[in-house]
Amino acid sequence: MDPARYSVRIGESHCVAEGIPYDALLDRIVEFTIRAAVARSVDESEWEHEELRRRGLSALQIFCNQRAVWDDRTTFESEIAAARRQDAAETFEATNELNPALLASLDRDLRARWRRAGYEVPSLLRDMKPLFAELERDAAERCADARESLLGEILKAQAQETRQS
Amino acid sequence: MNIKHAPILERAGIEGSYVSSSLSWAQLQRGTFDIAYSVLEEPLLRVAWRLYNVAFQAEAKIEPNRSVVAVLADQRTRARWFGADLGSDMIAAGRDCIDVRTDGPSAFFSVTIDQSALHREFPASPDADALTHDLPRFSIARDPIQAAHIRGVTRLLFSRPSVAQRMASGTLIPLLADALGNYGGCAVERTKCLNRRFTAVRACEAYMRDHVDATVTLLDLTTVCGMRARSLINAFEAVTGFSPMDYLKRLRLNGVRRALGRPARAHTRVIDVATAWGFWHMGHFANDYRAMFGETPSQTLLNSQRQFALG
Repeated sequence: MDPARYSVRIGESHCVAEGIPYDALLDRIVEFTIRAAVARSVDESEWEHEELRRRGLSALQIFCNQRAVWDDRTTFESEIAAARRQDAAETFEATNELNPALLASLDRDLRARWRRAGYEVPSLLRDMKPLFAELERDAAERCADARESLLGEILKAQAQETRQS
Repeated sequence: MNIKHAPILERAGIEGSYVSSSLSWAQLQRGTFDIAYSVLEEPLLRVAWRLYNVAFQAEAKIEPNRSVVAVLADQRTRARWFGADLGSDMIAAGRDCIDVRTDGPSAFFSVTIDQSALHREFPASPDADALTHDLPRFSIARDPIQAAHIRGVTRLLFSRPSVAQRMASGTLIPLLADALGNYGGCAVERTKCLNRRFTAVRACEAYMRDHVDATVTLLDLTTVCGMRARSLINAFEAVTGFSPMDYLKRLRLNGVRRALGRPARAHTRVIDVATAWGFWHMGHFANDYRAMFGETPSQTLLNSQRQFALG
């Protein structure tokens, strides 16, 4: 069993998940994605939602056991070298780790979940635009159905009331 | 024209006008910030031409007894003066303080007037009154002819440096007095909506600056300014061009850059500065910083330490 605990943020202010196992993390990301797409479909999306749509999984600040996970080896190595020059290597290594496989595995597992839910989408690593487009379309259709259904119910109720009176 | 360049606004801002050291500014757009500027100095006024390569915001107090008149130096510039759109057919004026935001590359001509010196020189002149006491605290007037006139004369001053020193006051003071004499009639009225939005954004900015190392959420900001979340997002987009959280990130990245640019002690570490400015994920921070300023945070620190060592 993987004992790792994950936290995810978007930007410096929005916490998507805090100290949870990998499977629960997948649930949270899926939930946040759905909320973001629905918010966007009614023109109420926020900056964090747009970041996820535009940048995909690379918008997520992922922490594994409270260490920031990096996926770019070149930047990581140049920053750790800079940290060594600044006598900050120990602090840096205690709070950061290079793990490009984590994003790849999140991408694979999330796409599998979306596929099971009926959404066949390309890689989510760099953007989520196709997935958002599909979710937004579904949300808009459901809204239209709900409006029609509500309209039908009101008309039916009024017709009943007219008959009774 | 003697054109100087500066990588930070403080330097060019203080040299080019009478702004005091309380200038707070931020680069809002990606790129390596560069200001090309030129200043003509006379006892009564300072005339400045400034060209910025990326979007920025600046707020500053003006030294006492000074007033500023500004026009856009070209048609491309998109700017806001105290939150209100400033077009090329407009004249911006103010005293006590300035608040400028731009959407991209921009160019301005500004004239800063020394009110005391002007009154000493022309004690009974109605022109002097128009340029000093009658000037509102901050405002914009739509006057295409006078705006073009000020732009044309200022451009001429900078293109003819040999005569500029002799004619700046003599040409500009009557011209500005004429423009500002009719200023009230052309003033663009600020709507209640703009005032409310601008006040909300300023309150949020102050809160963001006071909580640089803390998690600031949209909910916190709505509490600070008393607006609904959607209204606040609209206000930020109208006044700054960015959503609140995006703007917060840009302010913080600028804060880190300033701190790394003038390290307080020899052993300044990027990781400490970034954490002090609320960045918890060093990977994202390093990428965002590089994307914004065109260099890594450690390069900024290294450069400033080298400059510090060179004295």
